[in-house]
Amino acid sequence: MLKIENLHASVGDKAILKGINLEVKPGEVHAIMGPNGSGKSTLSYVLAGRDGYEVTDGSVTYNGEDLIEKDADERACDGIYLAFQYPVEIPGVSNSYFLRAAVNAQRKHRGEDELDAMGFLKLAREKAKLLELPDNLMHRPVNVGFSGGEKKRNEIFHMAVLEPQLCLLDETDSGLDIDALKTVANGVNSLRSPDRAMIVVTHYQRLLDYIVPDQVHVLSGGKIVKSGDKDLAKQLEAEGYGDLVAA
Amino acid sequence: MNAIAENTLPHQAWLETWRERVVHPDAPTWLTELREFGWGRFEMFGFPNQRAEHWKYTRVSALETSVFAPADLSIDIATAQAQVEQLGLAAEDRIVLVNGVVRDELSQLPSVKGYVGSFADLLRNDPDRVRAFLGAIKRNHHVENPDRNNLRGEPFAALNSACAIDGAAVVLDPNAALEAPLHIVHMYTDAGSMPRNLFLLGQSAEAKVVEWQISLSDEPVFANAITEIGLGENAQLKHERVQNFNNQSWFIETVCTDIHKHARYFGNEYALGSKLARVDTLVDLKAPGSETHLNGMYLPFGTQHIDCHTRIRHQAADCISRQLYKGVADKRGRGVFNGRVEVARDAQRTDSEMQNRNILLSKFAEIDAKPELEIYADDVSCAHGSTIGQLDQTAMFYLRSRGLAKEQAEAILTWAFAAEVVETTDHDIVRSYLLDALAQRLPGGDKIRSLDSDLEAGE
Repeated sequence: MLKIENLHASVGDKAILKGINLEVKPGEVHAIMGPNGSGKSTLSYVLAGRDGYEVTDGSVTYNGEDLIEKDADERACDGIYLAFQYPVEIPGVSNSYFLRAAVNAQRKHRGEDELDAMGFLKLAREKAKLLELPDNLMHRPVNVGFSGGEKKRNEIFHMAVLEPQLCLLDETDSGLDIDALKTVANGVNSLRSPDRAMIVVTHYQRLLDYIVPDQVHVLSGGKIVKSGDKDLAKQLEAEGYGDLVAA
Repeated sequence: MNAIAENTLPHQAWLETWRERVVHPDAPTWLTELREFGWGRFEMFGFPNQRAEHWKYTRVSALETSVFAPADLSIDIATAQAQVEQLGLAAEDRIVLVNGVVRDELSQLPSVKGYVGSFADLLRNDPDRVRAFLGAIKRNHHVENPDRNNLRGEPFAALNSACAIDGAAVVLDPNAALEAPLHIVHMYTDAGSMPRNLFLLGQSAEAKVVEWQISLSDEPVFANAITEIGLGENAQLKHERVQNFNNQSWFIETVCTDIHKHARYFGNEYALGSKLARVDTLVDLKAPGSETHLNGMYLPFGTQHIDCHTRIRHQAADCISRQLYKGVADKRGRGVFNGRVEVARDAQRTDSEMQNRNILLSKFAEIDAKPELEIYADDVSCAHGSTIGQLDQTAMFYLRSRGLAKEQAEAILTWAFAAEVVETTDHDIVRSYLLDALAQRLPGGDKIRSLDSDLEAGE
C-alpha cells in the first residue's frame, strides 16, 4: 500500500529526514518511535502533504502512484488520514459542518453522491456511538473549548467517519491520562481492518500496550535505526533510546 | 455677496438649521449653557482634519461640503414597524427611535424600578438626575485645554451636546434588573440626526442592552451619536451594538463608560455598514475591582471606511480589561483599529489584554492597526498583539488534510475568523442577523451558512 524509499526531506534549509525506507501493507500497524527531534512528526507531515515540507530525494509510492506531487486534499481524498498531535480550533464552524464538508469533498472526488444533512447525521451518530463520543461534541465549534482528551477523540471520530485506507496517528497519546488513552485506543482498534493500514507515531511505549503494532521502528537523526516486532517497544521502554541514538 | 458670507465655511449654513431647531425658551439655564458651550467648542475645533493623530487615517472633510440638516420627524410609521418586524424584534422589549427621536407607538417598554424610555422625557421630568451626569460628560469630552492634535471625538461630541434633543435613557435603581434584553433600535430615513443615550445603573443593578443602527432607506444619513454610561458599584451592563447603515451614510459615535467598584461592562460592537463610520469606545475603570470586556468586528467592504477607536483607562488597582477586535476588509475597503490602554500610577495589579487581528481579502483593501499602551504602574500584566495578514497556515493544512480543496478551506477559515466575535454575543437574534450578514459578504459564506442551518434543522 505504501512504499517509502530513501526519503529525504527538509523544512526550509534544514534537512530532517535523511533516507527513510519503509513498506506498509494493508492490515498492518506500524509504530514509529524515537526521541524528540528525531523527525517523527516531520514524517507524518511529509506523508500528509503539508506545505513547506519539501522532499529533496527519494520516493513515496501509495497504491502504486507517486504521492509526492499531490496536494494534501488530494491525498485525503485518496484515503490518507492524519490525526493531528495538536488539533486546530476553528471557532464559528461546527464540528458536524466541517466533517460533513470533508465527507462530501471526498465522496465527490470518488464520483459518489454527496450526503444530505439527514444521511450525514445518521452516519456521524453511528460512529459517535461506537467511540462513546459525547453528543454535544458534534455540534460545538471544531475543537473550541474541548479538553485534551476530547480533541484526540474527535480526531479518531473524524477518522471513523472518513474511513481512510492509511491512517497516520501523530502522537495521539501525548497528554492523555490512562482513561482517555484507553478510550482513544479502543476507538483506533475498532477501526483496524484487513484493508486498512496504520502508522502510529509515538514517543511513549504505553500506547502500544493498547494498540499492538505488527512492527516497531526507531527513528533517530532522520533515519530508521532499528526495526523489530512489538517486543522492541518494550525493550526501548526498559533500556531507553541511549544506545540507538548514539549508534 | 458680502464679505462675511464669503468667509463663512460651507458647513456653517447647514449647522445653522440645527441651531434654530434646538432653541427652547423654557429649557433650564444650565442646559442652554451646555448647548452654548457645545457650539463654542465645535466652532473652535471645526471638523477634525488628518493632522490630528487620531484622525490620521480617517478623512471627514467631506462633511464640510455636505448638507445634513435635521431630519424630518414626520415619518412613515408603517415602514418603521415593518423594519422592527424584519429584525425579529416585534415581541421584544424595545425603545424605537426614528431619526434620533423616540417613537412611543413603535416601542414596548419594560416595567422596572427606575426609568426606561425617552431621554427628552427624562430631561423634562427629572432634570437634576441628568444634570449631575452631564457634568461628568463636560469633563470627559469638553476638556478645558484641548490639544488640537490629540482630538478624538470631541468636536462631534460638542456638536451633539449643542444639538441633541432625544435618545434612549435607561436608569436603573439600586438592585433593579431588566428581566429581558432591551433592544434600542435607531432607524434613520435621511438627513441628519444626533441621538444621545444615557444608561445609568445603580448599585448592583443589571441589564442587557442591544443597540441597532439601521437605515430605513437608500438616502444618505449623517448620524452623530453619544452614549453616556455610568455603572454604580457592582452593577453589570452587557451592551451590544450592531451598525448596518446603507453605504451612503456617515456614522460617528462616542460611547463613554464610567465603571465603579466591582462593576462590569461588556461591550460588543459589530460594524457592518456605512460609507464612513468612526466609533470611539472610551472606558474608565474608576475604582478597584472593576472590569471591562470589549469585542469588536468590522467589515469594510467595497469602498467602505470603518474606524474603531478604543481607550481603556485603568485608574484604580485590581481592575481587568480584555479586548478582542477583528477586521476583515475586501475590495477597496479600509479599516482602522486604534486601541489604547492607559494604566495610572496607582493602578497596581492591572490585568489587561488587547488582541487585534485582521485579514485582507483583496490586494486593494487596507487596515491600519495601532495598539497603544501607556503604563505608569509597576506591578501590572499587560499583553497586546496585532496581526494583519493571511489565514493561519496550520489551520489551512488541518482542513485540507481532511479533503477540503484550497478555496473551500479558505472560505471556512475566513468565516471562522469573523464568527469568533459573533459567537461572543448573548442573543440569538443578534447572532442570526450577523451570520446572515457574513453569509452575504464573505466568499462562500452563503453556502456555509445554509449548510450549517441545515444541520441544526436536522437535529
